[in-house]
Amino acid sequence: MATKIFSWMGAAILLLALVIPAAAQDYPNKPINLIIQYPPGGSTDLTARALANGAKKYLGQPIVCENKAGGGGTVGVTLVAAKPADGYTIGIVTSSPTMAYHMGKLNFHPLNDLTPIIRWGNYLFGIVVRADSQFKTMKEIMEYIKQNPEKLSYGSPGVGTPPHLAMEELSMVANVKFTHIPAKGIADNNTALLGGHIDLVSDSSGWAPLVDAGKFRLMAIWSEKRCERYPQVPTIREIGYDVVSRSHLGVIGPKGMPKEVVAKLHDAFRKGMEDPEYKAVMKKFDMNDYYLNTEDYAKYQQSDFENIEKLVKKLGLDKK
Amino acid sequence: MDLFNFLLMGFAVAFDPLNLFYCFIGVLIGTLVGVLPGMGPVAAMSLLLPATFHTTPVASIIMLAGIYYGAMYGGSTTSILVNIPGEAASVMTCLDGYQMARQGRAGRALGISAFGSFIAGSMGIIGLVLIAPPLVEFALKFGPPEYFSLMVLGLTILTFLTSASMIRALMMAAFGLIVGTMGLDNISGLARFTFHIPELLDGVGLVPVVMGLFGISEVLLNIEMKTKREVFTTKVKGLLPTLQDWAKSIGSIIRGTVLGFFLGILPGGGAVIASFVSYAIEKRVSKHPEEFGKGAIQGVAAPEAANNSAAQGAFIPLLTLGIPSNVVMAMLLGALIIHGVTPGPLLLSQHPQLFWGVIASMYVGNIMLLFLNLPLIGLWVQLLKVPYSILFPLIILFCLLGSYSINNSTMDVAIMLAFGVIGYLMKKISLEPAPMVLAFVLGPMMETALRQSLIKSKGSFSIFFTRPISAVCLIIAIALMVIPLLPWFRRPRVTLEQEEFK
Repeated sequence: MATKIFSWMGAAILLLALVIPAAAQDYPNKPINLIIQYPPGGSTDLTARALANGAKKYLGQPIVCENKAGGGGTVGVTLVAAKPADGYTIGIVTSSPTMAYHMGKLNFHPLNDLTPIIRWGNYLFGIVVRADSQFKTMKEIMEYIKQNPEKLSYGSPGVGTPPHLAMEELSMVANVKFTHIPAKGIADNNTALLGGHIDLVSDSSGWAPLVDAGKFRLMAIWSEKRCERYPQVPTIREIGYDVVSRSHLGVIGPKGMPKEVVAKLHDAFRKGMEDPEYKAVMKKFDMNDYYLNTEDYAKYQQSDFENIEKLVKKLGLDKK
Repeated sequence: MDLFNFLLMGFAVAFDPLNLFYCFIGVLIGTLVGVLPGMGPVAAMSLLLPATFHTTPVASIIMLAGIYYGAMYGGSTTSILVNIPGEAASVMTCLDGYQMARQGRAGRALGISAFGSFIAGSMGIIGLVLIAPPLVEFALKFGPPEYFSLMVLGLTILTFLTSASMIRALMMAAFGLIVGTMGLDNISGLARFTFHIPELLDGVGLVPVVMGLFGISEVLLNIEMKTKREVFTTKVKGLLPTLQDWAKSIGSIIRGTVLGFFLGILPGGGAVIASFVSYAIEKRVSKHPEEFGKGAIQGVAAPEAANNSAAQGAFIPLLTLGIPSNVVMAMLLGALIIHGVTPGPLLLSQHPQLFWGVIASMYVGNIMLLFLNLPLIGLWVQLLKVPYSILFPLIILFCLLGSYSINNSTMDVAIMLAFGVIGYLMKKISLEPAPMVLAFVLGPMMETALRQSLIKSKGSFSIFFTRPISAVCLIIAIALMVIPLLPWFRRPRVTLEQEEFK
């Protein structure tokens, strides 16, 4: 009888040892999973992979990148939020989950259920058409759609993503109507536009290689001012519509991560931003560093949250 | 420079000692992970990607590509010898390959799959060189409606062919579609069928499902049937297929190659679908469809050829347009970008050395694989001589390790074991797993395509019939559904897998 009790106790201790998380001091002692919320081959994917590759040298453990695309970039973040807060599963985030939240399409809170780690990048958003399109300028597109409502379809990285909301805002300001075909990310949109299945794409600069190759024409960008790489391309504002769209790129983890772990990850990613390969990839997509440390990033997210709430309400897309 | 000079330059790059070395390492690792169930090329490439950062872009792409097409060779070995697909594209090879092994023809099955793979691989490379750009233009014509209809057709063909009862096969397909919807919805991001279990948010993984259905359940069935053991003691004869084997399978190899190549080019298509469809077509065109599932050599040759040429075809959209057609290609894309090479229409003019070097290395790699596989097969034949009391625990161990190692998730192990029991029960009541697995893989893609099509058409289903490619696919699919109901067609149909239980 006594031996039986001992063996049960032994088993219980063993189980406990498995359950108790390893001390934060020796973090990380196994590979870290980084969930990327857009499909492979797009601008988010390639820059995030390069950043992870730069950061891993300072962690002493590999960072394994995994694409979990869908739901306008919310699928990946939802998965991160559901993981244990041990620092072994982290993810890339943009403003999209906050937009989805205000539209009533997210079942967790984008601020309270995540731990911010670092803000590192800024997207370049733009509108592209195929090079053989009848439209030479953004003005022509706007005139055509005014005459022919819903006759032009556009691809976006998903419902509730900044390039989608920007198109909605433009439609509202200009009083026109486009047909929206949501995709999982720019990699899918590139294929759809090349095949002529949609008329335009409003998405992040994953289109840049195809623009450079003469397959796509960049019509306008959503930034406040013109970009370095395509200085001849106007902003939407210049064309006469007061719409600007941007989104940050950050790294987050599940809520309740230990402070030491967050600090270690922040420092590694901060140093990873100095990596020449990372810089080269960012330059390819004309994306800029947009660094904030953990504390400031948390504050930024708070203000981002409020701004997006206003935007979503203005567009009439808020939860009913 | 004309094509010949480009190729010459490519071979000069491929025969560089460093590149030759990386090519060898790539195909060796590829064969190994192909043979090991649970370790697929994706896992191996993601593990080795960081290691390539220290070498040249050409060498690293050569090695990563070698892992991919090497796994296509290796995957067949395990399918034939142990009836477990070494990787997903070898599922169909199990059906007849394993039967051949049981009949003492394992050597010829392995031989024809290696030669079939070599022929398909070589032809795929020639196709890649000659007709890459026009083919991409064609593949781009496939929008959401075409994708949806093509997948409906693929599923219908499979249910039409797998089972004596189409109703049973359709039931399995429906089951697969339901399992495929588990997790977060692709478009809205909301959770479905997750039962508030966080691990299920990500849905159910393909590897645990396949390992359970094809690995664990097979072990469970075999434990019951002690008499089956003697099959494995049969002597394995020579690896060289006879003239008769060649006569039977050369047509299948060529059909599989062409089909696989085209399906490989399709974004989202690839080796897995290619092997499924080519098997179905072989059974259709055969004068003796009743032999399929009972050790028909065509049933080994065609899917193996198809998955190899699909592996080559998949390079076309990546190298010419910068668009990855599957996860493996996406990893190659990432590797290229990190090395400062922008894949896309400019790649050919800016980095001709890389483009032609990688293509030439694939040819070299295919020859290496042929020589590598025949001796290595001998090594794996040894597995047959291992008694079941050792082999079964080993299979279970590999399945456990394999399912755990993908995401380091115990949930995946539980899912695999659950599907092992489900697969066991399914076989007990003669329900085939193949339609279930294909529906499970295609389900999420079909759903996205369906919803995108309906958004585009504003809810009207006419979009599927007004577009020619889509309409043709659907009409064939409907015809396949109706034919079994017609009285003059009510002859007994043959099954793919029935024979396994006798």
